Amino acid sequence: MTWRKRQEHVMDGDIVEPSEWRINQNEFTSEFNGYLDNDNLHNHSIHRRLVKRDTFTKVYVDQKQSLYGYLFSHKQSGWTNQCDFLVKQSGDRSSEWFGIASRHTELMDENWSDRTNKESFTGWNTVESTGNPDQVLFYERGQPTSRYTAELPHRDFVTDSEAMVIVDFHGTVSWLHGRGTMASPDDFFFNWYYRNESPGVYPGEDYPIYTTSGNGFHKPENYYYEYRAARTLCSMWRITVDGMIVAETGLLGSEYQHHPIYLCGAIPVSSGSHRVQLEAQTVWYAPGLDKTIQSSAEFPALSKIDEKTPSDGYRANLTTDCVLRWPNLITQVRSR
Amino acid sequence: MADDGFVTVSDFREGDRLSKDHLNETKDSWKSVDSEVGELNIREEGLDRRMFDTDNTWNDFFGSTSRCQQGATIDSNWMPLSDGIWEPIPFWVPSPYDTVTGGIHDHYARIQFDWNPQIHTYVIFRASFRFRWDVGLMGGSGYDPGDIDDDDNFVSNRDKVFVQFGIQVSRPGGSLSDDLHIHSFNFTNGRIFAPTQLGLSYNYSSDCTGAYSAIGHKFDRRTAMTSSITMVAAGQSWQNSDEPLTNSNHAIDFRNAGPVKAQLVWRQYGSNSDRQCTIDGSDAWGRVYPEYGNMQFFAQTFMR
Repeated sequence: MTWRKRQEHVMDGDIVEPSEWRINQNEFTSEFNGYLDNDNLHNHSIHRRLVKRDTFTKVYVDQKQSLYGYLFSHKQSGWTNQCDFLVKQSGDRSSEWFGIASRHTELMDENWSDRTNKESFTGWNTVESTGNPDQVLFYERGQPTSRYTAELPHRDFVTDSEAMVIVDFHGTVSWLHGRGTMASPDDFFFNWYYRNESPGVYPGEDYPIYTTSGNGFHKPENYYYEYRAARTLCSMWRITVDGMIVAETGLLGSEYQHHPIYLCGAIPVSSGSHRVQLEAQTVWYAPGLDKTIQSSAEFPALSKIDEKTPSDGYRANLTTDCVLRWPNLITQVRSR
Repeated sequence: MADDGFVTVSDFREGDRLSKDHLNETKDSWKSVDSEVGELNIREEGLDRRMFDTDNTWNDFFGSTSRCQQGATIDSNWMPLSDGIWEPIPFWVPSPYDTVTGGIHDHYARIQFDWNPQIHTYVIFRASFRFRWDVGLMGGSGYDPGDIDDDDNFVSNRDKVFVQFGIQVSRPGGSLSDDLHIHSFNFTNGRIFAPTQLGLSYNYSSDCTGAYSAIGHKFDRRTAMTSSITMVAAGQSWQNSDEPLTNSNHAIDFRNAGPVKAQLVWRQYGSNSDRQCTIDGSDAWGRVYPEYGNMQFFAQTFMR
């Protein structure tokens, strides 16, 4: 039942009674002051030019149109909304990734001349000057800080009424070529030895290189059927709205060095503040056992390499693997 | 006086002396709301779809040039010929002849729509298709003959095989021939948005010896990369001159009016001549084609 203007009838020849005039005026005014509706407007009388921007749909666009990506070191388990590093691609075409803006990583070129302290990694020139990513080594020193962590794509917004939130997300998941846990650590240690342990001298047969099982699978020790128990690293992704999951992937393996992901979800929300958040986690998955363990529970490459690492405070870090690139997070807020 | 479209009636009651000011103030209040009528004047839930001129608060309808689709499997050798050069993706089949439906081109996923920032606010591009490429027969058979002692080497043609895809969007009134590279901080004029990449892992493919669908063990896909390629990108008109894209982070800039064209593009690492089968006596000589298709591509514009 809609509100209607109530009339006090005044006829010619009547004596003017103030209430009639005042009631009519107040009724008309109160109708105008917030109670106009369908009965006051013609059908099809409101053209879109008359409607305020964002009245029905508001779209928040978060497109990381850049050459940097979010990298996970596998040192944190469970779902997280923070990556461990930011990385930058060497070019817009190359599959190689280098240029780690790391919270605890130092880079140097093959001549050790380009060592840069970690505070300078907000600039990228030093990294790019190395040219060849294979000439960049990674060393871990000290404890990580929160200085260089980065939050995964998200969007905070406020709605002044209830609404439907529809989220689209797309990105590319890449596994670092040549230096991740999934890669053979041979070259990594080879270069490390050449530059650090004995500069200029390549390791020979007397320095056998320990590797993971290769081919992307890690064979855990103390398993008789070790291939059946072989594990591979997988990534998982999900979208939350105010902490509620609206879309989630399963286990995405590292068989492909690069593969796209796409998530779409929708949820009604009440008026107030909201957050759309991308979250990720990495896990070890054993297809033969159909079991997973937390990514931080095991660092196979690291433990092997440690056998060849002198106790000088350096430690090879091979666990910087999974990178999210080119993420586009698009949030629609449908009010009507 | 009016406040945000509200009318204020002079407060007088029965028994009060009615003055000219009472009448003039009320009249002025009504007069001042001429340009102030807004959402506060409307009852909550008071309007419905019937009030609006059209249903086009957002716009995307089947059969428009802003949408195209294709359902056939493409297995022709349409891969980009040059190393790293972006090209539009052909979505047509010579035999039996099949083409793209909708859009503005029979052979490419190419769409067009009119953009007027006076009434259009946002646009979302969405694209999806399937893609499969088995590179097991690329190059010759066996390991790389140049380094046969290394168990982990494989024929270089099968190394670093990857493809990138993207949505190229023209400026309003612009051409698709402009600035065919990824938009980024380094290339702000680039018109390719929503780039994505599909590529094999070296570590999974390194033992491939030149056999189609070579499977090392049951967990290993090795030479075939299969994926759905889904991309989404968005742009918007400006909100104000100081912070034109206040609500967005690198939305595509649609401040100007004009027809907007968009198409799906791709490129590969290496030249097409490197992606041939050179195995002597092989029936697949020269034929290492990707299979793709089932494409949907459209632009959804939001007006208000």
